[in-house]
Amino acid sequence: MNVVEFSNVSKKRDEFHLKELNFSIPQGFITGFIGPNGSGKTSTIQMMMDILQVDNGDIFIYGDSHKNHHTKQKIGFVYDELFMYGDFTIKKMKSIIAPLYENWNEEVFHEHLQEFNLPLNKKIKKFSKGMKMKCSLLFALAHEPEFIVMDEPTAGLDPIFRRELLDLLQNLMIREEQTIFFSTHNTTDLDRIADYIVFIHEGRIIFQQSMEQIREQFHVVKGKLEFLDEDIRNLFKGIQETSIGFTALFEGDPILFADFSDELVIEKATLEDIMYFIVKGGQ
Amino acid sequence: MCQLLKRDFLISWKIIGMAYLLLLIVYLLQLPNIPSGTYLFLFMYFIAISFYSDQLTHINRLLISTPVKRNHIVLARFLFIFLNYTVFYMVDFTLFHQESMTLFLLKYTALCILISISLPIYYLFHSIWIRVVVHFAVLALSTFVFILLLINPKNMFNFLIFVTLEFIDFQQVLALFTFSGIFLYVSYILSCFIFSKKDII
Repeated sequence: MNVVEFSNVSKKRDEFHLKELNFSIPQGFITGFIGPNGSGKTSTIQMMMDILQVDNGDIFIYGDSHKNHHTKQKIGFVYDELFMYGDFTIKKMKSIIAPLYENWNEEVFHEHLQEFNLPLNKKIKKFSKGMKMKCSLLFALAHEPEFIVMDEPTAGLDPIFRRELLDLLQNLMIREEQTIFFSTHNTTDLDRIADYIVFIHEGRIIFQQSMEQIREQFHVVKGKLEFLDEDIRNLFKGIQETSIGFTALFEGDPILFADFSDELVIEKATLEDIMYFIVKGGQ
Repeated sequence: MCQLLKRDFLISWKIIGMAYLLLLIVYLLQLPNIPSGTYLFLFMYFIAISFYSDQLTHINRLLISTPVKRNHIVLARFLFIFLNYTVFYMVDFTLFHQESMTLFLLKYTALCILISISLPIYYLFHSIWIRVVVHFAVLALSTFVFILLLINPKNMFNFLIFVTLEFIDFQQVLALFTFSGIFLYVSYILSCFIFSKKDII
């Protein structure tokens, strides 16, 4: 079952155009949403959450329109910034937010409050970047959502909290029907935890695949420049050439290069490799 | 709904407190009556600051992501501003004014019309400066029209009755409340429509 389905969704914003987005977020998994800066990740998430209007197409969340506010009882969200009043404290914000959720769990709230070491009575505007992210996460988790949406949650965080956050997300996945949608341009976060990847570039979905498929299908091929001719070049998704040799991204079965094992080095591609070569193309 | 009203109260209690303090000082010190322009300024400032706080913090992105209807966000803001002004106006009237009930109601209706005109402007425009300039221009114009009509209150009442339902022998109170209600409702529907169609940026 899919938690979210995008069906031919389009949106034009100034010069930027999201075109015919079609993808789904499967239930019970961590889906990574990757793409370079400005590729449309945040706009896509904002459309899903009804912050931005859709020009064309449909978005379904748990089989219902994304505009249905009842569905949001099941969703926890963490955006790249904290959208709360700076003069308010966590206590004040809680007094407004908590009653909106049927499943608000005070015990979970206080557990995470202690875990994240957040002050209840300090003004939010005095929080550091890391504290703001933790605060956002605190409110996202306190109503025990089935579906967590995170837009660049690790941006600007120190490596220690980044790791803690990823561990926390993995722990959450122990719960059976928990689904996480995690947008980032830092692919190393997802190499560790993601089950599925949706790749967006210049407002288009390039692919949606499981990590297993990605590991099997994408390879980095390295070799000498003499090896490259027009036919070979056409096999690659992207090539980086230097005076020493070339590095290229290949999609498919690497058995194709079995006869050239002495001349080529073939490795499994990381998400960063895939993103780099697809974005850069043949440049 | 209560949470949204509470939010509005928490972001603007200082301004509300200041307004009541001003009333109290003027009353206790037996100062000359506060010029109407002060109220108009407070009115504009209060609405502008409520929307500016939202814009500054992008709080609507958070609210729309929670299980709250967009219409309820608008309704809460409407109710909060409307109730605040109703209470404030009544306190002001009780302390200072010895006018007839008709004039009181006429002024109250004018206040409702001002609220009705003001709020859709804040939903329509994004830039705070455009909002304030348009708001000021519309308020100046409507105040001018109101003053012209106020020169002879009877004329204004006749005008309002004419606009509503002249042929029914309405009581003044009912007519003015109906008139205020219609204005506020149309304004609310218009604001909901604008808010439901716009991107929250």
